[in-house]
Amino acid sequence: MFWLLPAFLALAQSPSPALFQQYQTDYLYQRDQYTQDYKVYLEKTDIDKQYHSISTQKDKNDAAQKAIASRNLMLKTYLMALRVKLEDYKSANPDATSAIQSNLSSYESWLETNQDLNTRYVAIQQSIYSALVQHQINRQQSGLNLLQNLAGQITNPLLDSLPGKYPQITSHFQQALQLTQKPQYTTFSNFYPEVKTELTKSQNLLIDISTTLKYALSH
Amino acid sequence: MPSATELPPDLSNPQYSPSRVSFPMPKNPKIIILIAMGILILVLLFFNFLFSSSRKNPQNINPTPSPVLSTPTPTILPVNIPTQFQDPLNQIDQLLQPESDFLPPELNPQIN
Repeated sequence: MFWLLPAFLALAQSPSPALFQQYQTDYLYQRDQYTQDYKVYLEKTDIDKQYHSISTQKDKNDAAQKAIASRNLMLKTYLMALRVKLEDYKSANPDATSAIQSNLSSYESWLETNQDLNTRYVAIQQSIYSALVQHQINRQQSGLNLLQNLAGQITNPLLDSLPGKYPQITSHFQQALQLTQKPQYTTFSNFYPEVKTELTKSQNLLIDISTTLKYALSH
Repeated sequence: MPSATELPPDLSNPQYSPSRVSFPMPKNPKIIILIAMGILILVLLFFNFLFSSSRKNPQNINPTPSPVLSTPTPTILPVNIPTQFQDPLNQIDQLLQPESDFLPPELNPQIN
């Protein structure tokens, strides 16, 4: 029976991945539901364009209501899954992550009571991509913290160049975060590709540090 | 001189052919099937023997490149790294692995 103890401890330490899987499953189900409902809505719209009767118009409106409801529910489940995913490496930047989680949570509540997504669509998109960026920064920051901690325990001239690389990584994080604050207007201007470039650079620096550290440790 | 019991072939018989070796062919299809199955079993046993003998002698097998070896091998082996550092390094490796993006769904904000 004692062999179960480490398993329970491991589960207790990282509840987020299991919870995320559950939320992700819910989201994927709702996504399929929305795809079906939206398809029906498009079909009813075509029929209404052809016949334009009271009956076809009613069918179209009913299908639209159903598609709107399932779209908002799908988006809500996505936001919930994303909010849970942010727990994974939250300890790296707890305040910034909590602020984004709170933002996502407010949109989840908004979607429950509102149907016209158009009014908040750009703001929701900005929050979503900001959350994705924060998650990746948190993940890389966790790696950086571990690397710094490990490098601090070793005295080796091969590691002398490492402290110069830490601010470079942080600088890429800052630039990535600045891109998420880009002003948005009537349509969403996606900053994510530019952010990915910054985060790829920081990732490469981290890999470089890790390789140097392994080399120093094995010689 | 042929003996009395060894009679010369009847060359006057038109069906006689010196080059033709005649086997008694069974006419019963069940017997044909049994013979075919017997041959099949013998072939299978032969291959089984070949396979088992090559397994007993691994040097006979041509070394096939394993998928692990075909990938670029790291220059530093983990065995060289002191044990107390291996666990944090594994954690770092996991964090530096690329993670798939959890991108938002495509949706139409204007349904009316």
